[in-house]
Amino acid sequence: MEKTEANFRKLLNEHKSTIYSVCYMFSKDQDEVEDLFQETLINLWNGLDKFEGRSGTGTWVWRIALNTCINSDRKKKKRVDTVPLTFDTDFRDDNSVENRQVKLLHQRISRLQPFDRAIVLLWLENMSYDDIAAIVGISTKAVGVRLVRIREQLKNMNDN
Amino acid sequence: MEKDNNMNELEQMREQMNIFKSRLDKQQIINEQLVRNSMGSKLSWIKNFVLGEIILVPILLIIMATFHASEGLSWWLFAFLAAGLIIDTTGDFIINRIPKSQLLGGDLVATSQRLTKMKKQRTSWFIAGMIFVTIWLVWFIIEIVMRLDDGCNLPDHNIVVGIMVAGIAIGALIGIFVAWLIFRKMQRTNNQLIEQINQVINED
Repeated sequence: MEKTEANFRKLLNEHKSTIYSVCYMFSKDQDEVEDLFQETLINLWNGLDKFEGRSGTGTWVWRIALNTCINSDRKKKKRVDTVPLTFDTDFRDDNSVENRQVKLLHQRISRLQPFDRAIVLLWLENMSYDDIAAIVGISTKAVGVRLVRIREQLKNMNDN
Repeated sequence: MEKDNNMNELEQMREQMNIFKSRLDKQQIINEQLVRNSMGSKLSWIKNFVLGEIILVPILLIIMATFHASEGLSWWLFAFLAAGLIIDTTGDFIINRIPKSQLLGGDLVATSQRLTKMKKQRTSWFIAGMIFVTIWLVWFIIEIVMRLDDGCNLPDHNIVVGIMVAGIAIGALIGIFVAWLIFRKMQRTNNQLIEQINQVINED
């Protein structure tokens, strides 16, 4: 894809929710979300001209976002040039019924190992086992096995 | 019944995610400054560091050559330093030549494996660098002491030499300790990621 500002903006507008939801599920506070979000955007921009279109843009964005979050060096201090995101609601502080559901979802997912988090997030996105396997880099059968284990873990979390 | 409960749980999570994403769709999230920052991001600091090394090494070698000539230190010591710096810079360039942004477009396991390999290479190269610095430092101190011993007319000559050697040794020990702490931290990061990758790819 040609590395132009127009293409980049179009990509961000189409996939901002995906990028944010991935960063949110891999972070523990708003600072970390913003850091991961900024880092993901930088990686998307830098990789834009390397994207050959063999997979859809959505799949590519998922890969960049998940790779950024899984491989991010968490011990780094907050980036000095991180820009606050533009929201009119705070998912962590607001105690509305909907936000409580989001927090519960975050609690469940964040207790999983990073690769399992990636698999669950892709499954929640209604992706097929084949697509999940292609993004994660394991076999389709391994995705199925992994999801069964994740379900057991989630069930045990609820039981505890 | 249990299977139904599991499915209800996951379906509940799917509903929660759908609510979350539909709320996100109504938010602006991305602002102009964020987009500008992302497009204007500088080259990664690692790439800048390697470029800096390539520029600084010749300058450093000129300074050290001048110092060696003025102090009468051996040219074998200088050749050792020059070879070490050139090899180190070349190694840094080779290890870091693939930008992280290029690595991230692949599948998660392959990307993590490549990044882990890169980190391990850096660690090995760092250890080799520490060994080189230690050898050079010892050799340098010996030559300085021998140089001071040759026709040195300073009063309290031994005290001067002792203070100089002690100062260099203390500085070197502090540097090595700090470097060891950094190395340990890097190893921990590597090991955590390797463990996760192995868990995921061993499902078959």
